[in-house]
Amino acid sequence: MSDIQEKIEQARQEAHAISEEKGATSPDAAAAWDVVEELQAEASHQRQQQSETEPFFGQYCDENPDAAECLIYDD
Amino acid sequence: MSKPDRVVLIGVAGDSGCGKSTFLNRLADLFGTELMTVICLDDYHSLDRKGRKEAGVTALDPRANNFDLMYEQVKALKNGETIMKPIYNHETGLIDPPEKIEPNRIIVIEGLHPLYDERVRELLDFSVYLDIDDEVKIAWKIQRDMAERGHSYEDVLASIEARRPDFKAYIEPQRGHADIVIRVMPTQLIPNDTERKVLRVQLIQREGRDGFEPAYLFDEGSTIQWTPCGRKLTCSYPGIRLAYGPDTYYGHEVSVLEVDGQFENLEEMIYVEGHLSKTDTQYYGELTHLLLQHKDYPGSNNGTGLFQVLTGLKMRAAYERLTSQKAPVAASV
Repeated sequence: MSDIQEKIEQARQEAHAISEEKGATSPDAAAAWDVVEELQAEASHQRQQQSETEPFFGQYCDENPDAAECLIYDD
Repeated sequence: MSKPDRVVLIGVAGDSGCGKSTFLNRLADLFGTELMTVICLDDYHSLDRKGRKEAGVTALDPRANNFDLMYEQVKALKNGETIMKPIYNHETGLIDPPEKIEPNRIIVIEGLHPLYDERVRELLDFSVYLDIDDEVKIAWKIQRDMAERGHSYEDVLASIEARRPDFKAYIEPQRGHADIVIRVMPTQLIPNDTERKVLRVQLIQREGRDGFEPAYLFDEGSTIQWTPCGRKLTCSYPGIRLAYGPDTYYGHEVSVLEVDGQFENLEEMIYVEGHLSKTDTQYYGELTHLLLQHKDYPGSNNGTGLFQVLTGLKMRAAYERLTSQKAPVAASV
C-alpha cells in the first residue's frame, strides 16, 4: 500500500510540474493528471478490498477450511 | 461449464470514481457471480502508462485504446468462444500477459468506452451510462481520496479541469447511445447546498427499444411532480420529491424519472415503490428488498441506489426475454 502511495505522490508532483510548465489544460497536463486519477482509483479499490476481507476468519479459514472454527454445514 | 445458448452482453459506461463498482456489485447480487463475468475495458489499452505519457494522451483518448481487439474479443465471447484477454495492471501501469476468459451467460463490459466503437455497440444487448455532474464528482472524489496524504481540493479540481476536454470529446457523447442514463446532480431541496450528501438523480430511459419498457410514475406519458410526504407519510428534512415526464435526449424520445432527496426509512421507500409501474419486479417490494440487502453500499438511501437497482431489474428482464426467445427455437430443431 505504501508503494502505491509513493507512486501517487510522485505522479502528483509530476502533474503539478507539467501543468506549470505547459499549461493546466495542455494535453501533456491532461495525460499527467490522468495518471494520478488512475492510481488513486486503484488505491481506492485496494482499500475497499482490504476493508471487505474479514479481520480474522477470512484469511484463516481460506487457509484452513477444515478447522473447527471454520466448518459451516449448509443444511 | 457448458457453452451457453445465448450470451447476453451488457455495457456499463462511466468515469472512474463514479460509482461503477457499486453498480457492478448490485448487478452481481442480482445475477450471481457464477452467471456473470465482468470485463474491465482498461485491459484494451493499446498504450501503457509510459506510452501515454510520452505521446501526451490520456486513457480517455481513443488513440490509447485498441478497439479492433476489443471488438474481436467481445464478439468471440458473445459467440460462446473462449478468449485470451490482455490485462492492464493499474498499479504498475503495464500491460501484463493475457488471461483466459471463458464465455458466460452474462458478460458485462465496463469502463470508459463500452459505447464508443460502433461495432461493439451493435453487439450490446443493454447499456447504461453513469453520468455524474461535476459538482458531485468533485465531492465524491474528495471523499474517495481523503485517506491519501497530501491530497487537496485543488488537485481534484486540477485533475477534472485537465481531463475535461477529452472527457467531453470521447466519453460524454456515449450518453446518446445508452438505453439508460443515470444522472446524478446536486439537490434542489436545500438552497445553496454545498455538502452534496443529498442528491437529485434522474433515470433517463430510452423509448422504443425492443423489449425494454421504461418504468413510470402514476400515468405513462404524463408530466408529474410528486411529493410523497404528507398525512400518509412523515418525512424528515429535506424530504423527497419525485418527478416524471417525457423528454428528448440526443434527438430521441426518452422518459425521465427523477428522485430528489433521501429515504430515512423503509416506509418511505416502499411507499414510493408502490407508486411506480413497470419496474420489472417479481414480487411486491422487491426493489426495496434489494436495496435493503445492502444498506452498506453507497447511495442505498437515495435515488442513486434506487435507480441502480431498477436498472438491474431492467437488465434482468432483458436477459430473461432474450434467453426465453432462444429456447423455443432450440426446442423445435
